[in-house]
Amino acid sequence: MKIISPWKKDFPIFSSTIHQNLHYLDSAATCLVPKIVAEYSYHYLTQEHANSHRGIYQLSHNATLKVEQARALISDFIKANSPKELVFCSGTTDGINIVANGFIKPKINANHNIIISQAEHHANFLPWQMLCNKTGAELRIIRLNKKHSIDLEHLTSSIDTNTLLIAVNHISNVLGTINPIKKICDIAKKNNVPVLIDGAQAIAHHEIDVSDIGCDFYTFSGHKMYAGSSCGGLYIDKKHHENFIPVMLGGGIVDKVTNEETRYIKGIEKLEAGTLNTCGIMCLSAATTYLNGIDKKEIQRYLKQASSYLVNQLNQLSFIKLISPNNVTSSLVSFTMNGVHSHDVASILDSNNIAVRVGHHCAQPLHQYLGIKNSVRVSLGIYSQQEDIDKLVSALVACHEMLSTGICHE
Amino acid sequence: MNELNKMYQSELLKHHQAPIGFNQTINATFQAFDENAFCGDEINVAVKCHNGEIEQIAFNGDSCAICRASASIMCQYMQNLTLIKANITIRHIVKTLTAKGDLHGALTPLNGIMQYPVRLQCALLPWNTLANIVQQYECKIEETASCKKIG
Repeated sequence: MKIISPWKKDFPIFSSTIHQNLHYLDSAATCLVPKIVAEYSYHYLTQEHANSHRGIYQLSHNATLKVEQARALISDFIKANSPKELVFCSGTTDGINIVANGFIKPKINANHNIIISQAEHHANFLPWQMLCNKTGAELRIIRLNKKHSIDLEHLTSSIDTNTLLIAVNHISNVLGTINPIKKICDIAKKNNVPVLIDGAQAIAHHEIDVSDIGCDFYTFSGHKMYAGSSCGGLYIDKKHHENFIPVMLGGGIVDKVTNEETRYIKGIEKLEAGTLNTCGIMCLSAATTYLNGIDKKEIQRYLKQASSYLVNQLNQLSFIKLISPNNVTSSLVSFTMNGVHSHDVASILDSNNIAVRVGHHCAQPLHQYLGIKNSVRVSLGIYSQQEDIDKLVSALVACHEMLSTGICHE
Repeated sequence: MNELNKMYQSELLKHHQAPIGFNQTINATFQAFDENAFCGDEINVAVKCHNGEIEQIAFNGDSCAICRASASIMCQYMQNLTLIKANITIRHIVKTLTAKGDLHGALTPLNGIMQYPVRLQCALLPWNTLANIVQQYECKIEETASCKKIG
């Protein structure tokens, strides 16, 4: 039986005359937007927009209520204990930088170390590398095991009394491997080390329960959960709230300011300086409502079936070398094509209306570790279906026939 | 497939599959390396020059089809040009490709990528790397001239 998405009809781009016959296989970069989110965005901007948390008139007050309702909805989506544990930020990169500059930077010194994995996106690599390089602290990079997930033995042996933070991804944006983040948090807790999880690739299609995971910080992007160019979120366990200093300084985060000094508000609202991206928050809220209307287990079942089909089809192509494990259970798979540069693959696929991501996917250290310079990544969304994969496979065959030179690109 | 055919015209493809000057060992007078951070293309260009003229030109590196074909065309076209003439040619090519104008003669295959602005940087990488070599040559000429003046 063919794999056909029951949700594809929710996404107007597939009936667009601008990009006809689109086969969108780049959902790990950004997800397409369902009609319900776009309509809610239009409604908010034309009917309800105001500056929240500022005005004392009804329109502004209503905007404030809507933002706080959204905060409650989204914090519940990730099973936080309270809406007060969720900060709105621009996305995962912003969330990680807030933890780096608001929580770690004030206390790090040359004696400390920070632990990350070899499979981090630059967003969860550069802030820690810069902090360590500036202070003389050590950046400890945990290797991957044979299944390409974080090596727990290496992690355990790398933690010591000077470890300030463990920052790892939930799902690798290149390999698609799902890391054992609950076990990582258990190991960290025994050593009293806080854990930050980069949830960018997990937020849309996986059940997120920050309380069950036991992490201290969990951050994600709205645009990777069907919310368009919206905003993101950063969960912060309440025990850390007063250990943060504000990173961005400006309006809305102070009790009192004089010529000489400033007293900042308590709680993590002090991390939301300036006017909030209310439209982005509304889009994130609408996308959360949309996803809440679908059983996550149903999404996972569907994507697992589609991913298995994708991996099986790719495995039948002798010129394709998967760098993701064969048993990948997330919705993204990366590979190289013998004798063909990934950018040429992308151009050929593009001429067949197939959108994929190629290059290093903002994970150069991982590609160096794997001994390759770039790769092709195919990632599925809830609108992806068998015909997209079949079209991809036939275009890959044509691409290889046309461009293969025997010159190795690894 | 029309778009595809436009992009990978047969001549461009021919250069990609049998690149001129690729992995050729020469006794280089000047060498330059450049990379394209966007896609990871890497290229080394080497030039053997005599009396300011390009006697031999070669390249190597890990790059995409567009970059390699463009480098191959460069090796074919630049042979026996003086570095001063090479500099004028490079400027003309970069300007024309950027402005989506038409190139002629042996450079014609490069016209095929003009409608793909995202790949333009791949096509320009070899030419920009050769421009670096021209700069090295000009610096050397200036150094020699100032040495003569001081002497």
